[in-house]
Amino acid sequence: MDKEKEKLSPEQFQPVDLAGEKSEELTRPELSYWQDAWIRLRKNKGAIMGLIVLVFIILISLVGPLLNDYEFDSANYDAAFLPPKVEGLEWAGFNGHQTFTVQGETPEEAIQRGLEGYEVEEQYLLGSEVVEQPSEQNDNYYSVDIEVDIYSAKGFEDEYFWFGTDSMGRDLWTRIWKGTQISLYIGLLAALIDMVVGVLYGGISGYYGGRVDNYMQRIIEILSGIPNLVVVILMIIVLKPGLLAITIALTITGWIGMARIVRGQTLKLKNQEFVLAAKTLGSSDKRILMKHLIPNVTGMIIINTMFTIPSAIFFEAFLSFIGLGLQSPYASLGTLIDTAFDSYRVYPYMLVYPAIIISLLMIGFNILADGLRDALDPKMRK
Amino acid sequence: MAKYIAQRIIYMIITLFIIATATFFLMKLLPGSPFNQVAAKLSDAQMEILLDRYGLNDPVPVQYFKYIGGLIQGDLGVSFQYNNRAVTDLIMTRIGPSAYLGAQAMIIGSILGIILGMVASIRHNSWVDYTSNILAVIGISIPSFVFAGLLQYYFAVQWRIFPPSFWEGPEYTVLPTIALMIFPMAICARFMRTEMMEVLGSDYIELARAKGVSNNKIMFKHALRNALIPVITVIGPMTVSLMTGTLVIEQIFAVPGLGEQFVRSINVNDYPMIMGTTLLFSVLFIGVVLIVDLLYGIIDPRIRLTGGKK
Repeated sequence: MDKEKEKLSPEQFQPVDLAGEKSEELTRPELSYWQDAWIRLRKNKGAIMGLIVLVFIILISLVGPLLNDYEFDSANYDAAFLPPKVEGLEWAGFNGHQTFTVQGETPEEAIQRGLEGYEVEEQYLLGSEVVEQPSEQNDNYYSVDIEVDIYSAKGFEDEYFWFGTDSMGRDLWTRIWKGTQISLYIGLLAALIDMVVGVLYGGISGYYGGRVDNYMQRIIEILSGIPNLVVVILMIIVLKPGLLAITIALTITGWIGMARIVRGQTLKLKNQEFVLAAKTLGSSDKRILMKHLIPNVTGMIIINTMFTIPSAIFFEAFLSFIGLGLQSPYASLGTLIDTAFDSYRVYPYMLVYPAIIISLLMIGFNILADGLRDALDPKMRK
Repeated sequence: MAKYIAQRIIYMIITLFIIATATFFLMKLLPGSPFNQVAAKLSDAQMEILLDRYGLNDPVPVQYFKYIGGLIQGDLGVSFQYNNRAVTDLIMTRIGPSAYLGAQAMIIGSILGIILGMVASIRHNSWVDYTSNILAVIGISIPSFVFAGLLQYYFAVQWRIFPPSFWEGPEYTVLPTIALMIFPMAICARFMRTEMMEVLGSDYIELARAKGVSNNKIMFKHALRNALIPVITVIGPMTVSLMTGTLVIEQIFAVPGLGEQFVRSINVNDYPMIMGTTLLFSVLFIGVVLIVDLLYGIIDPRIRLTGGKK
């Protein structure tokens, strides 16, 4: 084989095209963690929908009570049990007409008895319909639906109660939005307290480690064995139902979940190089905890707090439902649903609106929290 | 393992002791006595006799030791609400419907949830997946009493398919069970979907596919079995939701169970009954958590219960 080397001449060389190296440069602007999370959150249609629903409900709950002249606690027994009536929306069912189901041996007698029983004069009877023929099961009575113009019958032709009135004639529109405010307030306050206590406890426990951590974890282990339900109920019985009592009861063991997460994260983070660097440079424990560890756990803290809010709202409603809620005249969504249950077969509107609002709130918070989890913690993405 | 179990049981006893003590003293803190309603009708002497009979005249520490002593022997005291009936006795007569309802809801709910989650993960990103996701969010979000109200209104009042309330036969359990099982179903479906997706993306599934194992065999023999293990962990939260649920659901459907009794006891300040039920709930909860932890270690040997401390 011919192994003669080729002679290299300078002409054979060409300068490297420097522009080519530019392709290595960053073409996208640098994004901070939060900008990145926001971009991811925006792509999540469900979460954005949840956010919009929440903002919408929060806004109306603040503005709603100001939109009419009724007070949430002004009782007027003459105006009790008026169904929803909205000016201009009569065609959509908001016409203030009430339907009663009445029984009688003949349809005529049923109607007559119904009108007398509900104190409605005959001229306000709008229509009637036999819904059940006599049979063995109903003791040979006719069941008749009668539709009456109850507003006129009670002398409130010119009034418009948008969501109707309750058993004491209080305007439900005002009460429901005031109740929404209170439910949100309890949810947010409970979540905030849980967050502060949990972050401090978990942060201290995880950061100091060793014996401190050991003792603090034993306390948590014992506390977490106590069912939340039991603690909350006992605390409310002792403290007497009220806004503050409910919030305190909800937070007594509520912070444990947060403390556990923060401790886990702190344990993981504190052995990383940047903490070592800070220590070497002489930072105090407090500074390391506040400036280095907590900011790194913020994502997890936000996610957990977002899940706490709906569960606090639910628990408050649940307490109201078993008779440990706010006392009248104050109302939350839970107490409104609870009172509506007594008579919802005749007056379903009392149940429908608070039930829809609490469901929307819960769904909104839950899907927003899901979305935030995916956006803030890409590792946990499904 | 034995050491771990012993340690856990000791914690369990400490926790229960703390709950019993805290409950006892909290109840003592309450103003008024359970006889407030009848107090006006009784003379002082009669009241004295009544207090004596229930041991309420003893100094608080004596009452406390009597109570704890009774607890150890399974004696939860005497209900104030029903003349002289032992709390243990009352709980026993009431626990049947609650246990039946709870078990039925838990079993049906988790089976449906597992099926839903599995189908969703197999048909990932299809309409089945979206529907089951939406169902899961709704099931987790909407409070059980709202569901119960809807079910009662439509299925019992409007369409009269099922009886609206009371407890007289299997058809009476349908609506309360559905209302109670929505939450377990939703969390099961959700958890199952996540787990299944993870398993389906793992190496051993890929290997099975490469070997030419049939799709059905992969799904049921490899994927389902492995995905089911972590689902055990949701039993804890499920138990809690069932306990919370029974309080409201039994009230709505007038089921003569423990939950309904508990709510009534709260409203009439029947302290021994409240304390007894509270302790029972706690034992149940702590027991379930312990069993789940132990089961988890037995079923999946990869999980080391005692390890973790370096």
